[in-house]
Order: sequence, then structure tokens, then C-alpha cells
Amino acid sequence: MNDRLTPAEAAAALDQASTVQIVSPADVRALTAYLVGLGAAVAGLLAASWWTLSHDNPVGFAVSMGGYAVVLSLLVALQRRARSTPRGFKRIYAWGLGATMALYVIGIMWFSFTRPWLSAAVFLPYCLVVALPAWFAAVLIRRAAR
Amino acid sequence: MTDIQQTQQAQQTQQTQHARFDLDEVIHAPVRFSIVAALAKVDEAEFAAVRDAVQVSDSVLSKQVTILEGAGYVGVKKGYVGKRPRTWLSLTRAGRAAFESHLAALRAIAGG
Repeated sequence: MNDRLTPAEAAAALDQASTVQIVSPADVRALTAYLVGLGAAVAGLLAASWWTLSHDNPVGFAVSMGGYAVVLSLLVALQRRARSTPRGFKRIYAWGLGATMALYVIGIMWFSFTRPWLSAAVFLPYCLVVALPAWFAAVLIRRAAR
Repeated sequence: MTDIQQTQQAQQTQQTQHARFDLDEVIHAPVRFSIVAALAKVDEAEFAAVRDAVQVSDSVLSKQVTILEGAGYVGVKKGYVGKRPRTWLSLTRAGRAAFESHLAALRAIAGG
């Protein structure tokens, strides 16, 4: 079979290899929505933790943790709808989520060991920063799928 | 002839042989080529997604994946999404390297 492969057939095979598409727009939507939602959920949890604990509201803190668990399970269900993950997804996801979680832990330690409590003007922008790596990862995933 | 001369001669022969000899026989079959080309663009994909992309039946895909798995080119992972069983396929490192080498041979042939 190899003996009969013409340059035209080889070119056709190369063309097929470059055009075959397995990652669907729905897959990309599910994966990016998952990462954007995850970033927002972790940032929201951090903000809620700071707000409830600084207002001496342990019930509110417990409710925010429960809400986070529910949102997280919904996001995981959304992510599982993707039938394929573009090349590089695992690495980008690991870095994005890892950086967001590292910033989350730093945020927890920051407000826990700072007295008087940090002001909203200082801490809420930081909560947004916590979400940025996950959101950036979502952008990279969208690009990787092109 | 010394060992060094023999090695040099072998290297020369390798350098001058036609690119068709570098084609991978496992990947070269049309359906398997399509499967590997599709998997090269993903970290992993569900069996059904590959079946739809390559446009073959479940049984044909299953048979070809078994051959690719046997060659060490494709990894097969089974699991569940909710209560539904799922099978995920991915290219192994060896499979990716073999595909790159196969593409290089195709480019050489296409280039004349």
C-alpha cells in the first residue's frame, strides 16, 4: 500500500489531518463556562467569608460554604457535558485553578491575621484578582480549541 | 570494514531511503489515521465524540481502537458520568510521536 502512495494522496491525507474537528463549540462553551464559574465561585466564597466573619456571622459563613458546594457541584456537572477536551486543557486548567486556589488561601490568611478587619475597598478588589487566573485559563482554552 | 565505517554506511542508507519507509503501518490505514488525527487535537475525547468525528460505526471504531491500543498508541479509560458508562480515548506519548513521524513522512512524499 505504501508503495502506491502518490504525492497527491499524501497531500490529501495531510489535509484531512489538519481539518478533522473533534472539539465542538458546545464542548468549548461547557469548559469555558466551567472555568469562568469556578473563578467567580471561589472569589465569591472568599468575599462572603471575609464579610460574614468580619461581621461576626458564623451562620452566614456556613450558608456561604453550603452555597459554594452547590455551585461547585453544578459546575462539575456542566463540565462533564463536554465530550472532548482540547489539547492542553489539563495543563491550562491545572495552572489556572492552582493559581486561583493559591490566591484564595493567601486571601484567607490575609484577612484572618489582619486586625482591624480589612476594608471592603481593599479586600473586594483582591477577591476579583483571585478569579483572574481561572478566567485567563478560560480564554486560553477557547484559543486552544480554535 | 571497521565498525565505524559500517555505522556510517548504515546511517547513509537511512538518510537516502524513500520517505514511504517512514510511514507507520499501524497509523497508515485510513480509519486509524482519521482516529489518530482526531485524537491528536485533544487531551482526551469520549468514544462517541470520536465515532461522530470519524463517521464510523461503534463496532468499527472499537475494532480499530483495539489495534491502536495494542500498538501502545491509544489509551482507553472507562468510567461513569452520573450512572451512564463512558469510555474516553486519548493518544499516548508514543502514539503522538508516531503520528508526528508519520506526518513528516507524508509531507516528504507530498513534497515530491
